[in-house]
Amino acid sequence: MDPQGFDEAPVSGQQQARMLLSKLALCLKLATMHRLDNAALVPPIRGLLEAVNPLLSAGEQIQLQAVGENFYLNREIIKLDFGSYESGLAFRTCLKRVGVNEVSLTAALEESELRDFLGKFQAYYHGREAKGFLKERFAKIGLRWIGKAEEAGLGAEIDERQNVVRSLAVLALSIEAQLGLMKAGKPPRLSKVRRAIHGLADASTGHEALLVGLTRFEALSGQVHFHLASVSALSLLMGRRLGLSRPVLTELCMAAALHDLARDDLGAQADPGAAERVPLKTVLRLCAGGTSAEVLERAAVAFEHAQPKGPHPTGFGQLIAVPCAFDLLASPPPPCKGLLPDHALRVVLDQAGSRFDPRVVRLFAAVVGMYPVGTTVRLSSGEIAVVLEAADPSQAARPRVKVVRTAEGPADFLLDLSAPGEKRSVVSSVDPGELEINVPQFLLA
Amino acid sequence: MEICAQLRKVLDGMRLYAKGHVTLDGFLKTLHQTIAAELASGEELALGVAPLSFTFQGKPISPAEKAEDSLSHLLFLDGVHRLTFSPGLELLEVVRLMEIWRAAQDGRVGATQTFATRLWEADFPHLRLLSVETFSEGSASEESEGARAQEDQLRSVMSELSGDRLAGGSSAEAARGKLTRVTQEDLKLLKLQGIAELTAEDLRRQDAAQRPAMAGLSAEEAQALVREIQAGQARVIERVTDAVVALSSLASPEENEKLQEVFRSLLLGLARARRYGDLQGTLNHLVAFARGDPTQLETRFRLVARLIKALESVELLKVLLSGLDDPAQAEAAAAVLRFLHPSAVGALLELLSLPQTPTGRRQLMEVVASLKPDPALLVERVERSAPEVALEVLRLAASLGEAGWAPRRAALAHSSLEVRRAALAGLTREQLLARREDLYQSAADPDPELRRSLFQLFMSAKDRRAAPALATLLGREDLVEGERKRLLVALGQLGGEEACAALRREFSGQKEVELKAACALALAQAGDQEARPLLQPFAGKLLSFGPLKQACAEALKRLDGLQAAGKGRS
Repeated sequence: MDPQGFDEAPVSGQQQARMLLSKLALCLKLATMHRLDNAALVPPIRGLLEAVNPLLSAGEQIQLQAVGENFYLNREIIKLDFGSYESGLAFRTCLKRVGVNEVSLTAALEESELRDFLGKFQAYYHGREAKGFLKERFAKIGLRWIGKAEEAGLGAEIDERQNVVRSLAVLALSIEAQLGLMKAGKPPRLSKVRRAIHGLADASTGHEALLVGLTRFEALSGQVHFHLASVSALSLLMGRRLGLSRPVLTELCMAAALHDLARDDLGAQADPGAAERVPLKTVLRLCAGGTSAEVLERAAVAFEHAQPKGPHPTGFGQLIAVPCAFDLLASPPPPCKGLLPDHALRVVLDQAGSRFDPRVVRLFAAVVGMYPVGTTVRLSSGEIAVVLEAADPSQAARPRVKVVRTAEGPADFLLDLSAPGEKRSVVSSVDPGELEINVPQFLLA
Repeated sequence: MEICAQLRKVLDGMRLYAKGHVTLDGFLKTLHQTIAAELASGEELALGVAPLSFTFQGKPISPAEKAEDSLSHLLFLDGVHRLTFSPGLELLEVVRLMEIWRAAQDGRVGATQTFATRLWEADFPHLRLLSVETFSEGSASEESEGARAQEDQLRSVMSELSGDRLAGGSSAEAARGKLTRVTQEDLKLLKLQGIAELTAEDLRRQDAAQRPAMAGLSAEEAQALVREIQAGQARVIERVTDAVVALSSLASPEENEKLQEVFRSLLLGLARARRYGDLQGTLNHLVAFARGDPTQLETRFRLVARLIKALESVELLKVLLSGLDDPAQAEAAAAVLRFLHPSAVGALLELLSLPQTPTGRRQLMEVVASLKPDPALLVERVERSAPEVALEVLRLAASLGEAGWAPRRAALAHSSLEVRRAALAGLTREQLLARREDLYQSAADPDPELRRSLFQLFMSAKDRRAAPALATLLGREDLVEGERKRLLVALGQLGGEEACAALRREFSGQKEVELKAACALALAQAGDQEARPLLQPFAGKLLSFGPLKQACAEALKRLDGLQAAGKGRS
């Protein structure tokens, strides 16, 4: 356990979470080793009180949980660093012995109240009826054992979805950082992008539809690093659908993450012919630091994705060309306006065979859905809904949706349009901005 | 814990033993068995990763004193939190894990990889990592200001993605609105941004109510696609070459230079890896491109020539020439060199000394010969080359016929005897006679064999112009036995002013009676009347040695005869 840093004022949520976990773990650990009147406990007890009481006095609640392999503060996962990891283990070990995996602090504590808690903990920890500690009642401290069902829910419903958001954000920002380095003529640290891709691959397993939807969100539309991250994410899903091995899948996503990096040179008022030079500038920027096998593959992709499908076998370039075109149509850089997602997909479908490999287009359509995840649609019943999952290609107009507005007003219920007996279907897509619908919040709720 | 000791044993063993060595295999099996024993209960085995040691159930295992001695430090630096082994772990997984671990310790994981990313991509069924995701770019700890700023930035992006900032459902960006159909004005903008080039037909299709029916990808189609992707990856050099060629037409002169540098770097990488087949294939691909469209022959050839000029880089040439010494690769390396433009022959000649083996040098000279080099370049080269290189140049010169004479002549002044002899090798007597003016100087060559061959040549031609060279030779002290006498006789036969002057000098300075006598007779042979004053004292002296007196008398007699006949030199 790392006793240092107790006196530092937290400046970020994660840092604060780690600090609270460490302080409480230290108190518990020492309580298992020493009598409560031992001087060794005085600083940690006071340190914990100094940390938690300002928050509790401000009306905040502090819930620390050790569930599965993770630790949470107020149901939000704590990213442990190397010092706090040991604290976490100690926290879990101490509480597990007494049959607890959640400690809640509900109001500012006096030292005597904390010592009383630690005293009882100590007694049960060393006693025969350790699990009886769960039945103890404290005025300002709550104890709980989160069962398997709730544990599964805790992990799956809230944190894994946030994990997907976080992983996509990390990827986009990692790409942005490397683009900055390359523009400045410095060598990029592409291992960071690779790590981010792996993180996204792990986080999105079982949440593919959510990832598709995330790439459609408006907030960062048109920014090149988000375009690259979106194409990389969509390529990840396509590659996974093809069953590509992890190394090949990673290389596909790395190539996608860098395929269009000179696009932000275009600017709002591009000159005629400037767009044609984007692949050239991308290739030169990619190769500026040398031509390893990986660099050559990415340079080839940067060129090929912008070319019509030719006689050569389909490679990464042709695979990436489809999500790239889709993303640019649906989320172009300003001042262009984007097409609605399903319209953008239709443009891509129309070019299957001429510009794109038709198999790649079908693969992409199967991944995102004919009404891509995140599209706001009008149902035949007049209701407004957000598409949650890609429909089977044979039932394009019948995806799984969340109804967000009915004739009566705002709504929030799920509807599987492909269910037997369900008569409603999608009739058209609509602009969520015009209807003032916050699509991300419906997808993540 | 025993596992850590076994891990260390394997890692150290990988330094000492080659892959497949029985001792190393034994270490790996033992490690696998040790881990398997821990997994026998059916529970997973989780090792925590701390800076100086692994931990088990929170307790450090054999912590090291220094980071470089720590088994876990590499994983720790890579952000790995925990290493978890599951029941069913196979020996192959352990072997692969240790190979990656060893490579990571040696810094051989690849420029864009880390230990953790290699492990992820290895996709072990019974081993998983838990990593601490550190988004901070280059910061030493998450408490640094830069790290905090980046964490805040991340939270901001997540907030945007999650729609937290969408007041009333619309963001500033979303306020741009969406298009439900593309208008002509929008078409222009989309085209300018390189996003889409849509037509009126495309616009009409947007209004169609029907959605196209579409099947997903079948398993066979997916497999075929994957095979094509893999085949495409194997063709990466050809694809990059196509990209460079196509992009050259869009590039400014400065950008074209960069593209050429990319191409040069590609060729250099292939040469360093000894992938001469791929090199040759790439160059053939370029040539095929150049010939592909008869209507654009000139433009394409110019483009290809500019790219192939990358071969002339000294760095690349050095690597290629070093390949000529490898018997297995020499032919292929030479085939690549033959793509050089003739103007590159000077660069090649500068590097003649690079191949270390006779075969390598021979291959190089064949390449140079195929480029039809200017003989003047060969002259320059032979004059300053080491003997083994000069010999190769002469071998090349021999193949050039008449044009090869200049380098041969230059080689006659080389410091190496072998080179000087080789300079005349293979030439017929008639050819030598035709070139004898260039050989006069060589008559005084330090090598007696060479001197003798040239001497015979000059005498057979009775070329008086050889006399100065022979006279010069007469002045040397290191003549072999009988040579001086032969020279005297030769000078006498040749005659002429210079021969006579040399003979007179020799007669005056010569102490040996036999040679002095020979000199006297030579003077007479040459018809040198001016020699009389030199000869008469010896002819009339009572105390002169017999042979010398006789010789001088004889010489005088001959001179009298010549004078009477109106011949001889006076």
